[in-house]
Amino acid sequence: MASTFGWLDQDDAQRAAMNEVVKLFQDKSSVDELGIGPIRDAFSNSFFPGTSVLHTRIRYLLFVPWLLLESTRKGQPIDAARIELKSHEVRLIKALLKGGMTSGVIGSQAQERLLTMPSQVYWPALQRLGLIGWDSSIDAHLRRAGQAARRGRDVTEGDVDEAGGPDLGVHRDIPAPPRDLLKTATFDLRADEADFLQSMLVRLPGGSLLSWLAARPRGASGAWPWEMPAVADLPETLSASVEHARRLHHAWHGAPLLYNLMLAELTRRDDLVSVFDEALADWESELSDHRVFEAWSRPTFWSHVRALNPRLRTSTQDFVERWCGVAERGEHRGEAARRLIIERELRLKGRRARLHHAQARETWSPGAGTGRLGYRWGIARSYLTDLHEGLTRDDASTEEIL
Amino acid sequence: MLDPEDRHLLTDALRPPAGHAVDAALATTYTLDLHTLLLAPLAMAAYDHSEGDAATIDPATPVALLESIRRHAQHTVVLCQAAGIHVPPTYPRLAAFAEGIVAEVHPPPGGTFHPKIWLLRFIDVSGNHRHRFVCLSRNLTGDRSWDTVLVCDEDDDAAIIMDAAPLVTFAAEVLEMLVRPLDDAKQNLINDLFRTFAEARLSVPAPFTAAEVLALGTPSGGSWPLPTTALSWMVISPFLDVGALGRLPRADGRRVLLSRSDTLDRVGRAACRGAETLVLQPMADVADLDELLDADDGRARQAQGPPPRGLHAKVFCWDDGEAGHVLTGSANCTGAAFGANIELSVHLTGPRVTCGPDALLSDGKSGLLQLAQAYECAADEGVDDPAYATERRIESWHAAIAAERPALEVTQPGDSYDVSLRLELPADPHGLAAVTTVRPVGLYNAQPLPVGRTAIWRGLGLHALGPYVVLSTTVTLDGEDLTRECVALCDVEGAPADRLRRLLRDLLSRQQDLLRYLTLLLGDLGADDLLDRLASDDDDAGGGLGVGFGQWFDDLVLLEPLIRAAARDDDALARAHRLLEDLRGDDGELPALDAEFLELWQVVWEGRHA
Repeated sequence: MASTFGWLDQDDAQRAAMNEVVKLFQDKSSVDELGIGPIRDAFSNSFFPGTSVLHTRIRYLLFVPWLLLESTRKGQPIDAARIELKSHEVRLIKALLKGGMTSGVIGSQAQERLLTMPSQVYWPALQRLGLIGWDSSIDAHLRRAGQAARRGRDVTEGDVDEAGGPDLGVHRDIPAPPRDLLKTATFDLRADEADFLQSMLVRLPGGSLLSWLAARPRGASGAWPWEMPAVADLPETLSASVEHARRLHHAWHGAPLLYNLMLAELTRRDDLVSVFDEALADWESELSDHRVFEAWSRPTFWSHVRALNPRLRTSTQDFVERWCGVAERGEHRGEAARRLIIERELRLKGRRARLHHAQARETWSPGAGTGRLGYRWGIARSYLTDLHEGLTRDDASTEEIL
Repeated sequence: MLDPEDRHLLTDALRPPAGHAVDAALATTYTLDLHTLLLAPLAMAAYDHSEGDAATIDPATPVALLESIRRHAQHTVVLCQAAGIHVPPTYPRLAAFAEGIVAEVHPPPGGTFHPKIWLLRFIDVSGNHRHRFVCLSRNLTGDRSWDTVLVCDEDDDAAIIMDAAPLVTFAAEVLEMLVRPLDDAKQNLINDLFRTFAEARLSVPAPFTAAEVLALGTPSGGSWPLPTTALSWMVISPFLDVGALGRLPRADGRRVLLSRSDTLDRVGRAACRGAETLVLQPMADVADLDELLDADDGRARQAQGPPPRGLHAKVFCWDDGEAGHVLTGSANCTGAAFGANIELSVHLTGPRVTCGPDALLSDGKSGLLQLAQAYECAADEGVDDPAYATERRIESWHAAIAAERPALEVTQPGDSYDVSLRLELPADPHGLAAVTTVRPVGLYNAQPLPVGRTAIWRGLGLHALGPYVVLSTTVTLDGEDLTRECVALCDVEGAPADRLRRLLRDLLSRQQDLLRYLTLLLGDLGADDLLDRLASDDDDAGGGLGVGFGQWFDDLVLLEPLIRAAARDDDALARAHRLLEDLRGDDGELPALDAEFLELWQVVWEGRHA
């Protein structure tokens, strides 16, 4: 390795998690101020396994394996493979920009200086979806694939195995990359690529929403999962889960609004007080418009959430349950609701709690934590849209465009 | 610099470059976790497993882990502060093979042994050496804190070099402070490591243009490196004290302290002398929100809480008008770090723009500041934390006990073993002996016994005869019990000389485990696909149990690696030979293997130089 100076992580999993944390801090509305995360993520992971807030477009699920194959095919030592992979990834950034991709390009700003490469960002997803066959870190993969390639080269012509060359750890059926991938590239899937990715997604075990939608990607539209046209056709278990997620999405939203209202009051920002006051009023009508609490069995809801995340802390469940209670009774502007929010923040942040400590308010950006619970739908929708377009594309038209 | 996205793994730092193997390794740490200790050889062996968490070592890879420990234990030395070992929830079976790795260091009077470094030497097939220096802010534990890692790799072509000789001087001086001398083989190995390491051309990472070792607290150590005045500075330190804060440079520009809230409260606002005081934002210091709910406010008061989190990096960064400076490593911004403690940090310098406080602070949209928030100390004056002082007192007491070289005497009255502790108690001004108990680490249900009296435990198995005891001290503070536990090393006398061989035989008592191990030994270094195929066999699927060797033999294709190894003529056959010798019973038999294999082995082994 080259000499380096940076932050230390215990393992790949922690590195991935910390990168997500850092990403969430780039948009303050997505920072989880009151600790809904464990419930939100339980739904997100069950609906859309393998996705991450760091993801952008589905074709990265092919880009990364292609570049891996390219970097390991020759059987070179790990250090050389690592350097080659990185240089390919940087070239891919430029190729995508050259292909006219204006958004979704990971590293479009940083380019050579990019620290978290797409391979790292997509690694857990590639393993989850079975595009990468080995359960190992990227480094381990490069080493092993290099060894396999070297061994494969040692094999004489007569011994070549039926499957077509050594196993380099990438799924055998992956379509061949476009010839000029590193010169100019787009996020558009060719038909054979879309077919392949669709088959991988459909085969995901566990009956996830992602699998179900991959079989019929045309239906993946709408602002939220429960607003997509296909929602009526969902199998019962998915349908129930989506319904719980919908109700939580609406019921929860008042909590960060009240939190921001209280901070606006404390900092005497009258302009913001009226902003959040109005937002709360809108949210009140949202509750009735969407029949959020009508016939919502919360014991059923909680047993569902617990099945998705057995490690859920009782303190988190209690807090969210009590919040739902005050919201249902229309008491969310009352003293009890405010106390609930204050206590929750204090419990999470101690002396760093903003409602308690004036100085902590200095880092309050109005709207903190008010990002809607979307359960990574935006990412999944982008995947499915890409997939649908790929499946319906006339292949002749894509490769020829310069 | 130190962009939050610039993240590295310790396993990568310990892994040999391609075509190399670890040849000698010396590490220092203040505290040590036995599980994490086991992971170090795994990284060095370049066996890959996907999880870095020792608690979840893939059960399919014990042979790889066992081999990496056996292979690397002989040339790895880890120095930790006496009684600085954490109490493990269980004493892992494989830990027996790592028992010889750890050596304790006497803490300096009134201070702690605190450096966290690795000196590594790799060797390639031609016998050429390459060296690497790693300087961390994290101990050899499973912490999940915000910690830094600096890696300086040997590079003959590098334009900018750090002088490695002071590292060797530092390590040699530390070796003078051991509770027990290293055995001859280890001492010779380390001497040889020193000989070559001092000459190593360690390259300095960009964007820095110079680097210098700063040892503290050793005879040749340096002192406070910061100037009296600077344009601006930023200090990241989980611990602070009034004395060290008072020595920070006077500066007209920005002055920033990033620490922990309880630390800032302890020192008080006045001590921070008008610097901006920051802490990490609550959601930035954990990867999983549940962890926040697990942690107490402030320090966990239990002997075994979850792994520590939050800020643990120690970075001093200043701009002197000429250049940017960074001091990184083990030294906190405390009087102890620059006084009584033994520490090791590295002083890096480079252009102001890329290496000074501005580069660290960035613009708040990216970089570290986006994860931080202002924090107002609770009061002008600091508050004493009586628990903190008590904990330090207990820690010193445990270190003093370990420094007395306690010994475990083993006797074997029947099938099992009895162990008694021999210990001269050190001076005990605070009367802690009366509230301190001891038990062997491998014995969970054993009655902890008071340290001051005769302690004997009966009916131990072979595995429990390890050299570690658990010391536990409980004092009452403000009506609450405060317990501190640690593990101390002991001399073991009278244990069977072939204990490790017999433990190995127990571990490899099943034929398929032994065959896996042999395959691993005969294969190339690293994980090859044969091993993976074996590892993916379901252990208890009955596939291997009770099946004749002939069938295994065909399935396993052990013949091929055997012939390949013979053809390669590296030391794989010798390693396999040593393993088989280790496994032979007193009657010279290898019960786990069939005659058919042994016959073949014999042919290959004897014909290896033909």
